Amino acid sequence: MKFATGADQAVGFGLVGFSVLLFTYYTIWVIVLPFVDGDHVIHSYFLPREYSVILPGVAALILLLFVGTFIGVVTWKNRKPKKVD
Amino acid sequence: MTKLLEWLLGLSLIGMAWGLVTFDLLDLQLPPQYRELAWPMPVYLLVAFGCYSLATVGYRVATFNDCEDAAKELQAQIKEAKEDLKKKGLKM
Repeated sequence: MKFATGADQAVGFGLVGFSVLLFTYYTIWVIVLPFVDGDHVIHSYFLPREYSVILPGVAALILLLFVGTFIGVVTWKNRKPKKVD
Repeated sequence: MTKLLEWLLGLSLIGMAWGLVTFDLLDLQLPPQYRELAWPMPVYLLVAFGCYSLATVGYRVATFNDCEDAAKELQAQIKEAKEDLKKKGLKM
């Protein structure tokens, strides 16, 4: 059996890299920043704290919207008069 | 006690602890940094769990061995299934 090739590896490790980056940024934002002085330069790389809750909330809503729309579209395309077999 | 009840109990306890700290219901007067840290916690844990899930899926996609024979067989089965469903009227 061969090892995973080309595109699989790229996508897979891409996902891993993206998750690590996202996790690190988000962790610094939520957990580290409250303990850092208000006038440290690092604060300029992060949005105000409220956005650390609002942005994931909006992202979750958009995801739900996509899933719901997909289900709705496929269901609509397959409706039959009177009975749905 | 069922697993569901265990999980619900655990979650409620943690939820109550979080609520107490965030809304300062016991007037504990914790230092402001800890209160700042506490209120995004539910969202933070969700995002952290999401990142872990994504990383796990990505890693397993990257390290899963290619199975050429199984792939060909699966493609054939997909084709067969599509034709069968088309005959029965499903539109994708």
